[in-house]
Amino acid sequence: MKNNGTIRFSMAILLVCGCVFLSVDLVAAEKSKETSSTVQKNDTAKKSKATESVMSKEELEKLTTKVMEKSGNPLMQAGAKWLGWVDKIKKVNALVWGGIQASLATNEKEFLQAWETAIVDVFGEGIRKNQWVMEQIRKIGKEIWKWHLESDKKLKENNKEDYERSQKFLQGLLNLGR
Amino acid sequence: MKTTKLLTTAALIMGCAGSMQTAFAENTQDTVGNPFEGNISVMRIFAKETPVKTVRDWMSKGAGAKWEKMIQPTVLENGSAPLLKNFFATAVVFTGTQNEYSGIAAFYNVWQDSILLFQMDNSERFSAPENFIFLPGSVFRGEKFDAEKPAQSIFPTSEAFDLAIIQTYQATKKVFDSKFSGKDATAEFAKYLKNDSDGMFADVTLNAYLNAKLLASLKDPGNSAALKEADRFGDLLQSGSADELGKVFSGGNAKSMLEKFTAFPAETRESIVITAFLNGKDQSVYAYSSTLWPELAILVSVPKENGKPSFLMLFLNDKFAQQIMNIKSK
Repeated sequence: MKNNGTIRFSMAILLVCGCVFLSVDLVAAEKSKETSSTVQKNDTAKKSKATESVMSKEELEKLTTKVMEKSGNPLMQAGAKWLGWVDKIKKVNALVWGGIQASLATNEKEFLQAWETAIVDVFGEGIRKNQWVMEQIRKIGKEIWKWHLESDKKLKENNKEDYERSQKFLQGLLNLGR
Repeated sequence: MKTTKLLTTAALIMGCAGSMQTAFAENTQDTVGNPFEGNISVMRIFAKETPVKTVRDWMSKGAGAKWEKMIQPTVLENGSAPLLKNFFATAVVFTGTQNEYSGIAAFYNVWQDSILLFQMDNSERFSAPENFIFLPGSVFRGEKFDAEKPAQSIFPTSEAFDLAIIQTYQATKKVFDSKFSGKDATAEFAKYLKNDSDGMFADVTLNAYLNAKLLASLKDPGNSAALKEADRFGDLLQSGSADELGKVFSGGNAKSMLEKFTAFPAETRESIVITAFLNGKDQSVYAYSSTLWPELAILVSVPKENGKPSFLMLFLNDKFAQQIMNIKSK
């Protein structure tokens, strides 16, 4: 008698568990179905242009600046700093690729040349006539190069592999800019 | 990228048009029959809208934090991440060995040639990644990443674009299957993880950037005609009838291919987006894919001289890719 009671009790428990399991399963299945149909509805609610997600060069260059700035890599941050400065004078486009070119320079002469070219790209050839301005630009360039050398040295010492990778990354961007 | 090469391939593809249908049916069935792949596909659809949040919330706490920190440089002030959105929009799902506790899966985007590889925790009702690595396709395939030589599927230099797409896809899938279909899947994943670094994601970003940069030329002020064409083709692919498409696209064989294309469900076609734009010397190529079914790729090539644009439909599907490769090797 006692055994029968235990069996009946166990069966009842199993039945309840089975029902709960089944209902959870059905709810999950329903939820998954709802999710799929919502996804599909959201996706097809409005037909959008096939080129809607295409970025313009300006948007892309801004994003590149951001990537460089936030990369945690001093070399890229240096590049972004130059780009940021140019952004302030509202002529970012022309200098973007010049800035990257300058960040790839291997010696001061190469850097200053790229730096000057970038500045002339922004303000036009006419700026070369102003000796004083050109002198200031060179001075700023020299300071940046000095700062770049220090951070570059640290970076090279700390992580050779990342340094090489970032150089390649910049080189890749530069190739695209050409 | 030569027109003749592209058209020859188109003709060859028509030769196996029957098996395209089979491939399509099998692929659809596979997705439905595999709950892991089904779950991952649903996540991809959400991730293509809000990649930062969706992937972070889907992953385990630790993996989510790693994700958020890693992708942060590519997220704009308004919270959008356009390069990542593009990645998820047309990424194909790969699934490796799965058991009730764990498994390996991946999102692979051939247009950006990058792969997001996951180690899944299947012990929960909705399986989720507990670790991941995001790497360029070349590194995944064991090749060397070279920023100066973009992947052929992004910017083809030695092959026609259609073949470059299929070859790159096939090579990546082959590596995935060989490493993640057996008992050693977890150990193979650990090997990739060992080489993970911040620089790896910089390379992934560069690949995405290359693809976006080529597309961005469509929005150049002097290129409005190309943008107009891209939208016109996009519109036709999204909702044009076989007759309407036939009036625009050339080729005797195109008719049969266009009929097959227009038989796709309306939802699949309406979600078609542009994935690549190549402005070559002899022709321009506009590539499209469906964000609901990214295995579908359409290449429209427009000759610079007179001539109608040509239409080519490709499937990023194992069997289809193998057939194309076999035809090529014969």
